[in-house]
Amino acid sequence: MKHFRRYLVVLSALYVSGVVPAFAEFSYGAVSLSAFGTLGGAWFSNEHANYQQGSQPVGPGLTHDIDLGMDSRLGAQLNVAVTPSTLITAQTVVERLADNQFMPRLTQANIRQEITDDLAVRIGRIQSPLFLASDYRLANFSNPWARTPGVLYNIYPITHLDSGEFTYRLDSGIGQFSLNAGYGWVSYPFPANFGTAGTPALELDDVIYANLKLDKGPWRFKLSWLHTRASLHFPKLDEDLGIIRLFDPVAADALDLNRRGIGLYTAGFSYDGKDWLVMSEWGMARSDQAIILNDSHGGYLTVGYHLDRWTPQITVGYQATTDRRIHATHPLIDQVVAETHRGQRTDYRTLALGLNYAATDSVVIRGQVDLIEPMGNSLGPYLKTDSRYQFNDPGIDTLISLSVDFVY
Amino acid sequence: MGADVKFKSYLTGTRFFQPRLLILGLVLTLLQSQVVVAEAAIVVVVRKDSPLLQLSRDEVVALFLGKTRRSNDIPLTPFDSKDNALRDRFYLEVAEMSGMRVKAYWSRIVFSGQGRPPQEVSASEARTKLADESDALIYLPADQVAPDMKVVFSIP
Repeated sequence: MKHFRRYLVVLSALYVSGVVPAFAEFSYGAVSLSAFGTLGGAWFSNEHANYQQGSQPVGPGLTHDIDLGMDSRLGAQLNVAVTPSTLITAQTVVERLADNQFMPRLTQANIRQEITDDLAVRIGRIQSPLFLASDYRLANFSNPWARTPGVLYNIYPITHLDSGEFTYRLDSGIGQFSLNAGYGWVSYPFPANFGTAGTPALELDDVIYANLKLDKGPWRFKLSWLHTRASLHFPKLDEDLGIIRLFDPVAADALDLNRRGIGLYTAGFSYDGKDWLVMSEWGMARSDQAIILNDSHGGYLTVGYHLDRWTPQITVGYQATTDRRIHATHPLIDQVVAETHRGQRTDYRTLALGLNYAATDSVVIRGQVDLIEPMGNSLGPYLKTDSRYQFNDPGIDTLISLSVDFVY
Repeated sequence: MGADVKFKSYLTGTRFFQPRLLILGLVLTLLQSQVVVAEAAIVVVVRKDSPLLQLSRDEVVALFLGKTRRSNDIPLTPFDSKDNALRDRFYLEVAEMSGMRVKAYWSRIVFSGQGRPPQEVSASEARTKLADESDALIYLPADQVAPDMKVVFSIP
């Protein structure tokens, strides 16, 4: 909390002193500086569980009555057009990270070269392009929600990738096609409450991805695929695996998350017309073979209506997990493995009602009420619970969010 | 009976006239708003010697939203107007998008590092661009079209 206050003080000082607006105005020829941010607060009805977003270790509910840190962030981006066809982008974002600190991190640092009008290559740190709103999800001003729907986006919450990629555009009678594909890697920090010191990281190597987009007027259709080799190691896990290996080496090898293949598949569309806004996506994460992480899938449908500066919207969504579980020969170890799979069940469904008001062309004020229903014997979107959390019959919880999103 | 007196007093008293004046004011305001100041239509132009003959509405939208960079294999570079009122009118009439929605659209592209919106130029800078760059594409009020420009799209 004290870090958030510090962040808020710095943000306010920058605004009051005119530094951010001055930077916003600074755009000289090939160099431009842009900024985006969100100031948000959320209240959660369940006092025995934390609503969790992305890789954050805390959230509203158990830890805070009202959490001012879950949705709040500040970002700045520098674009330098070295030539008309060469663009260098650097972006940094301050938000709450897996170690519960508000610290700046580099979310983009890349160079984009247009080889021809239709073909561009990009190298460096980029925003992960898997879902419809993946690559601009941090600039929430562009989105219709208080935050991207966790039912789908939390299946792959990783926001950036160190990558080399190409994008090919093709104009046709049907519309504008765009094929984007690349290769990269990323280290993704986990929340630091695994009973271990430090922040363990999920290492994703050999990330190969491709996505195909079709734009036609207000319509956009997108198909995406990503495959990676995932590794997870931290002292406590390695210690536990060492003990299991003494009794059941086969099970220990199966449990060891060391370059295990995981594939992600998504399909979605959006329509943003004069009056109506419709977005829908579905996605699935599935490992190549049974591993310690459960497979999961989820989807959502958002329908909104533009009423001058107001946009009311409704979103329904679900997430479900399937465990192709590892079986151990030793009964005690098998029980531990079963518990580990059970603890990863995040099956839930949501209904969200939101109202957005465009205060200016650069500022949107949002209110959103999420009704969240974890399925029985499931944690739903909650990371941390206390002993009084009703795991067998969680019921329906309410998350109320108010936020201001801006870009300059 | 008492209630009837109170009703008549309401009709003849100031409390009746105040709303009536308010309604009159509203009617006058509405009538006033019907007197539309005729604004010149917006046209999209290229240089007179450009091989481009015309653009469809979909092509204009795709070009100014950065979805394409050519028409009939003719390369085109769009420039936005620095005049906020003209720019808002252009996008509202051609793409049915408010200023906020145009901003949100470009935010998605800019903050994903995929590109930049068209450069904003003043009316005089736009004329210079047309003179200097053979692929320049600009929009302006129809009454400002000069002899060295070719209209390729008009907003009806």
